[in-house]
Amino acid sequence: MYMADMTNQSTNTLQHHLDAAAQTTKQKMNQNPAAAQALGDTPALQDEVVDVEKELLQEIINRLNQNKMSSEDAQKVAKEFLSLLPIHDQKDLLAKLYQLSKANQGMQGVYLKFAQPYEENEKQRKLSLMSQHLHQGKIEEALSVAKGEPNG
Amino acid sequence: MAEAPTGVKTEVKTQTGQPEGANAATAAEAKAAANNRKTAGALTAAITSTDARPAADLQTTLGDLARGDVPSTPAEKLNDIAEQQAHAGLIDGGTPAVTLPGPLAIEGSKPTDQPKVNEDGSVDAVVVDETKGEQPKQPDLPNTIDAQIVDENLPAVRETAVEQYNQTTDDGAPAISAADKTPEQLAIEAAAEKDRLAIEQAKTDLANLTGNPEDAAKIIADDPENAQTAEEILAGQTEPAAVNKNATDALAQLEEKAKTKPLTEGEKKKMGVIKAILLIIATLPLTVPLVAVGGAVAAGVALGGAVGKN
Repeated sequence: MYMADMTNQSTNTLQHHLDAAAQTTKQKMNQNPAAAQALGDTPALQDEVVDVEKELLQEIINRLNQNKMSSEDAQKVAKEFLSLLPIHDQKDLLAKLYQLSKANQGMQGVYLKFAQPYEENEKQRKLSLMSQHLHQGKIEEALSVAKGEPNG
Repeated sequence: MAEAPTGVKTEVKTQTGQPEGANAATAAEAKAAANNRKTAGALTAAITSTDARPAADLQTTLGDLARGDVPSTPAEKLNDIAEQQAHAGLIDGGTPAVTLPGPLAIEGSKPTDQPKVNEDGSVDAVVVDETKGEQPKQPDLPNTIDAQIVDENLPAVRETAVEQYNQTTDDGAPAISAADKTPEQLAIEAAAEKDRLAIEQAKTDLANLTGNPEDAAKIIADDPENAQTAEEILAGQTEPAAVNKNATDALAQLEEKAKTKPLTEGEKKKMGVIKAILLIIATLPLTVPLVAVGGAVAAGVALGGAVGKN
C-alpha cells in the first residue's frame, strides 16, 4: 500500500511538472511563430503536438524508471518523433503516431490516447451525415458513409 | 564515523538505490537499470523548475534527449560543483565559491557535506552532527519504485484484447497469436477489429432498415409490450450514441443465440423492436437526446415523439 501510494505520489508530481512544462512550451510557441511552425501548421495543432510531447515524455520517463526501456531506446524514440514534425492535420498526426507506435514498443499507449477521441469524433460525424442523408431519402449515400467510402 | 576536516562529526549513510527488479541477474543489468533511472531523473529534473532556474520546455528536452545530450541530474551537478570547488582550493573551509542550485542548497554547509552519487545510482546522504544545527536536505531523486502504470483510458480496450486473446478457433487453436505481441499491440488490433465489426453491423442494419422511421416509432408506440421492450433496451439512456450501442449489443446477443437455436416469437418481436430503434436513431439528429428518461415516459411514445419533432 505504501509503495503504491509513493508511486502515485511520484506519478502525480511528474504529471504536475509535465503540465507546467507543457504550459511554458505553449507560451514560448505563441511568442515564436517560426518555432511553432516547426511543430504544426495551425496554432491548434501546435498545441496538440505539445500535448503529445508531454505524453511521450511521461511514457519515456515512466518506462525508464521501471526499466522497461533503455536510455538508447528513449533517445531513438525522441529522435524519431522529432523527425515526424511538422504535423499538417489531425489525420497526419495520428498516422505518424501510429507509425511511431509500430516501431517503438511501449508507445502504443500514446497513440491510443490521441486516436480514441478522434475516432469517436469521426464516428459521430459519420452518424450525423448518415442521419442527414436518411432525412433526405438518400439511402445509398448513407450506406456509402457507413462503408467509409471517400465521399463519406 | 569519520572526522571531517572542520572537526564536525559526520556519519555517512548509504541509501541503497536497489536496481530495478531485485532479481537483476547480473551486475551489467543492474548498471543498465541504474543508468535508465539516471536518464529518467535527468529528464524529470530538466522539466522541473527550481528557485534557481525555470523548467526547460518540452521541445528542448526532447531535442536534448534525441541528441543524447541528457542534462545532468541535480545530484550530478552537486558532484560537479564539489569537484570544481576542490580544484579551486576551497574544499577545506570558507564560504563555497559556487552557490548550490535550487532546493539542494544547504545554507552554511561545506562542500564536503554534499551528497555523493555512486556509480550504481545510489546516493551517500551525509548526516551532519546535530550540534551543527541544520541538516542537509536529501536530493530529490527520481522515484525508483517498480509499479505498473495503467492508463485509465485503456482498461476497456485491453479487456477486449484479452478476450480476443483467449478466444480459440473451432480446432482449438488460439484465434490470435500472441507471439511477440505486447498488450498494447493486442489492444490496437482488438480496437481495429471492433471498428470493423461496428461498420459491418451498421451496413447490415441500414441494408435491412429502409422503412419509414415514423412507422418504426409507431410499431413501438402502439404495442405496450414493444414499448416495454424498448424501454428495457434504452435502459435509461437518452443519448442516441448510447442507445445505439444498447440496441446493437442486444441485437448481437439475439443473433448469436439464433446461430444455435431458433428464436422464440417473443425474441423475434424483440428483434423487430431493436431494428425499429436503430432505424429511428439513424434518422435522428445526433444532437437531440431522446425524451425517454427513467421510465417517466413510455419509451415507444417518447421515440415516436422525438421522431415527430424532427
